[in-house]
Amino acid sequence: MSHRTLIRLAAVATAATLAASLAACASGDAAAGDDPGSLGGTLTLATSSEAGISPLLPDFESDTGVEVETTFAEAGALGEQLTIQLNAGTAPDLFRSAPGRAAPSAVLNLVDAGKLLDLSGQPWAEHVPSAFAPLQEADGKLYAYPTFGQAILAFYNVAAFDKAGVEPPTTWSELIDVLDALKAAGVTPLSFGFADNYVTQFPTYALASSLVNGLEPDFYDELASGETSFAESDGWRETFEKLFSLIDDGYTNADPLGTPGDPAMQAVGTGEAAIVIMPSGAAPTLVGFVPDGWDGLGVFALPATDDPSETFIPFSPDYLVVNADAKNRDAALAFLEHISDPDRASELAEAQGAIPALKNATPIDNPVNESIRSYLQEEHTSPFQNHIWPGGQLAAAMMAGIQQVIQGEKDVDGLLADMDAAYAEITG
Amino acid sequence: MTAVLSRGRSDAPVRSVPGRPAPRRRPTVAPTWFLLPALVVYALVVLYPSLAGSVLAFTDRSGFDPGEWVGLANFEKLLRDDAARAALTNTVAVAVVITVVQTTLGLLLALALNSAIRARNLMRTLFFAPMMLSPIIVGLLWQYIYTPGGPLDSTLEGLGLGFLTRSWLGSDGALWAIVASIIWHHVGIVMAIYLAGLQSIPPELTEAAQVDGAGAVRRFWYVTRPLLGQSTTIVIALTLTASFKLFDQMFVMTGGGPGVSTQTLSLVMYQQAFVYGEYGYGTAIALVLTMIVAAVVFVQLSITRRGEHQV
Repeated sequence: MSHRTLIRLAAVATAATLAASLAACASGDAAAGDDPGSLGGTLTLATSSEAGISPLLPDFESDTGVEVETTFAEAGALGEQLTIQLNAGTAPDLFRSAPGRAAPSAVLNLVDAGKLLDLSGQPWAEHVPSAFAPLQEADGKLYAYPTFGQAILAFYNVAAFDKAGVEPPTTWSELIDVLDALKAAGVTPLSFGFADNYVTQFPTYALASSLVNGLEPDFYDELASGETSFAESDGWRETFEKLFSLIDDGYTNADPLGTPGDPAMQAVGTGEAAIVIMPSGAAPTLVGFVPDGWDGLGVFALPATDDPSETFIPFSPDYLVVNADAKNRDAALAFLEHISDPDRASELAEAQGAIPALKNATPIDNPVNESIRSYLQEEHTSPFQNHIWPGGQLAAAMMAGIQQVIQGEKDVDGLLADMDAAYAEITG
Repeated sequence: MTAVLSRGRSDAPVRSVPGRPAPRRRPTVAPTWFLLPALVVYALVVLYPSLAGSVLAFTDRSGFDPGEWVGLANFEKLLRDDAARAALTNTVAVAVVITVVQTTLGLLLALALNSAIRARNLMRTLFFAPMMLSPIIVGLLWQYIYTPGGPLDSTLEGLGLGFLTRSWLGSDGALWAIVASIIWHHVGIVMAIYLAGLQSIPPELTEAAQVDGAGAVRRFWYVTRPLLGQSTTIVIALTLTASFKLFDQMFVMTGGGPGVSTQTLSLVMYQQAFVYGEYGYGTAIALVLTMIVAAVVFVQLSITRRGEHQV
């Protein structure tokens, strides 16, 4: 082999090595999700429920070499803890956050404080429904991963409906007819567990979704610009008038304010009462009260008008967000990519009794998902009202006011005035 | 009355030898040093955070906004806040009722179980047992008991007292329904303190009073009650303090509702600071609550200590 040939071979070998190295470098970023075996380290994760998340961890840990340290706590308590941790700089890498501005630790409040990582460029971002934008986007950037969606629905005892010979209603008039038939059959038509004040939100938001978001789509823009108020909103007035008419006309359990949420669901499970209005996340608990499980339980969207096409349902996502100061940011992003797989996204939602939030998630065949599919497709959904509101004080004023109206200490005008006062206090 | 009682704290010498003045124990520095580690820990984990945190009451800190100095604005807001004023009224009413009822019941139980009745040890254990439960568990338990058509209503109906059933947690009476559960929870510790006090009273004192012809009521009023003065001081101080900072049961059983009828200052403070992230205002409420408790307990101690007697 001549000297020149040796030089040529060396040059070719060097070029080939360089090319291979460059190719490896070039594919490095893109392959973070495909071959993230080199990530390693520890990922700290805090969320509100183990269900759905824990089964997804072993695969992620073995694929990436990342050890996931989890904290699970009830959503409210977790939010309070996270606010303190974020202030102290000790928050986990990845954590659960509420939509909008419902609490100090909700997504948009954290964005304002510069606490969240911009997730706009992530591979799953294109599958986030545009309807969620007001709850998780700021300045056109996306800051949260929607783990699943929750809808507020009317759950009914199938045996009670059979006994009364009624079908799920699609209009307000039909609903009243169904309630009358149930009452005549000796079944308590509606079970309200308003001793737990947060439960007052569910039927209220279910009615307001159609009467406010559906029929007054500009209400919140006009409220923000000072052009209207809760007291001036026909939708809000009708929402409360219809809610209280259900109690005043004797369609509910005798003592809604003395009944906590769980016994209210239990009454529907046993057939003592027929209908309870709850978020889909309560479905696993509710099903547990029904002897026949899902076979004994039905679901429908609560109608608020006499036109079925005007029915909207409250539908809000639950979020995971990445700490802007995450110690293992790459692992946090890899984990979100891992759970955004269509089957995994579906698996997680199903375990939560919820609805997959990503558009490309594998559909789930159960009564909850089937009942809301058409509303999602027609975009007849609105976020839970408190997720649109600028602070938690407004929901607190509404919950206390609803209880006071039922007690007879206040009327609808007073309740709406309280909500306007709370809104004014928050917005300064 | 043959019993000789001394008032206030005893300054009696430690040991006396007949014919010589009693030697007094020389003050020593050593015990102070033994206290030091605990004092340092207390200062670091209680005093310093409390004092440093109280500065927040004079700022408008909220959420992630460090806030600015606002002077007394949070305290002015507190005076205008209808919910906080209603909570203060509830807090004072609850503290007074719990202190009076719980102290009286605990004393009656102690007197009953200090006698020679059968199964008194079992009864003492049963009355003390609720104290072993956490307030959250007690709240959940009583929330269930008070459910419409629940155990309490069923029992009343079974006893032919159905006319007494009501919306226990769904009406204006909810506050007193919760108070009843709190008294059930804590009366055992009051009973235990009074039992300890009763057992420290030499039986010859009451026997002597009996010989002098004093009946049971007079023996209690003139012998037992004064000698239980220290127990009463402890019981009232503990009960008042616990009642003013009541939170758990209200939080679990009603969340402050219906409306604001079971709100307490502690609950309002928690909601403002941790639910709404209004740290400045929440701390101002906490500071006011602390000052109220300190003032009330100071007055209570100075009154009840005057009535303390020792054997």
